[in-house]
Amino acid sequence: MLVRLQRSGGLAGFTVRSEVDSAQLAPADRAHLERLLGAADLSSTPPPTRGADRFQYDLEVERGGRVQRTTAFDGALPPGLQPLIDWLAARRAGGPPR
Amino acid sequence: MARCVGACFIVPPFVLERVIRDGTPEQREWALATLLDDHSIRAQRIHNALVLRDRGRARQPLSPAPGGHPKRTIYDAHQQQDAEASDVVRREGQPAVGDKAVNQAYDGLGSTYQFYWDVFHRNSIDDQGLPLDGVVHYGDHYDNAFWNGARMVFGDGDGYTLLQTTAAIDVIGHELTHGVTEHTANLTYLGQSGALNESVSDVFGSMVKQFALGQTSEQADWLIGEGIVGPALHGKALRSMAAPGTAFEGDPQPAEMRHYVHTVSDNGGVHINSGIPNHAFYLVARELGGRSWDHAGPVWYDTLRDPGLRSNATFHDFAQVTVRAAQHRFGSGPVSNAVRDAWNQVGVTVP
Repeated sequence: MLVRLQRSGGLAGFTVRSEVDSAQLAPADRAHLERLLGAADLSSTPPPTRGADRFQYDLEVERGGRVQRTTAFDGALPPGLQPLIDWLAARRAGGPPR
Repeated sequence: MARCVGACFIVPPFVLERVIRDGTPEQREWALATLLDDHSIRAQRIHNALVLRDRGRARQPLSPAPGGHPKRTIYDAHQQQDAEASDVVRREGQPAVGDKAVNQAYDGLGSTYQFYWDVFHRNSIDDQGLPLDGVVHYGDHYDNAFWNGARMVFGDGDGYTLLQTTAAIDVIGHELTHGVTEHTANLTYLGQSGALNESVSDVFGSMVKQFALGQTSEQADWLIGEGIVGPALHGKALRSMAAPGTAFEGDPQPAEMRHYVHTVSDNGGVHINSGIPNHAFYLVARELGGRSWDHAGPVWYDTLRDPGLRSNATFHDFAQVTVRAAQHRFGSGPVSNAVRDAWNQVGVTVP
């Protein structure tokens, strides 16, 4: 399973990407990722938030050739998505944010 | 209703209107009764308009605030992602506190308020004296600042790409201006209208900084977010209005229409393509010389408030309104010519 997260927008407008291949994860981490995915509602499409300069998140979960995509905005994230975003962002390797 | 007996005369409705507006309670009652007794459509219309106006008045304070003074409140989110933070750390008129971010937000909101008041006689975000609420220390190492539709919210930065976001006065001006745009043109935050929304925030944010520093267009650095970029960006700022695409290594901003970036990220590239209208404003200000808020600024401000500017305006729509606004305010001449030339230089053709 591949999980890709792209964060764009925000005041600075940088795009930041992270990708996790579950096959490369230690069993405990893999189980943790599955739990986070299970708790996140990836099917709902929340309305864009009011205001400006909020982050846009584009999440892709690729499993057995099937890809599920979700777009969400900071301040109006679907239930359970924030912990998944935090976990993926924390695993992002160092380097320029592009 | 009693008909007039004896000395009878017809009072024109506009006189009745004046009596209703300025008269004593007895005079008002008489005038209203007279209006009601007049069955003409004109009288009916005036009556309805007066009732509607008085209803509207009931929602406004009897004596509106004279303006010229901000009403600031700074809240501390204590590293939580809570834009509704309720811990007040500094209110209007209170002295500086020990927390630098709090004072920077307080001062920056004050400078922005002063710019709008002194230059455009605009009384806060809504021109009705809306209180200015700022939230600092939002989130943990949060590398962003935003407008949430009610408050200006500032993260401390991750220390890597972005530093403390309250440290840049133009960024504070940028966020407050999102509120001004919401209360005026209300440019839809998507695609070209979204990039215009972003550009307006950069344009006014930059003017706030220039105004505070007393700089001419020539002296200004035309950078957005100078001083808050972290070491990972290898750059001097987040954006450059003078030379879009050069603020940091890999800056994706175009300066011209032929390099417009089509993307679904960032609400359709609102922080990317804003480089094009940003550069147009810079070109106008530099061409005209002097201070940016003397000529270029008022043209952009009039455009933002023009009822003909639609929420889903394209760059071309916006450009056309700027030329019209320039002609309206300064006549056909150097200013309107500079505005037209600037748009043509960035590839937005205006006749």
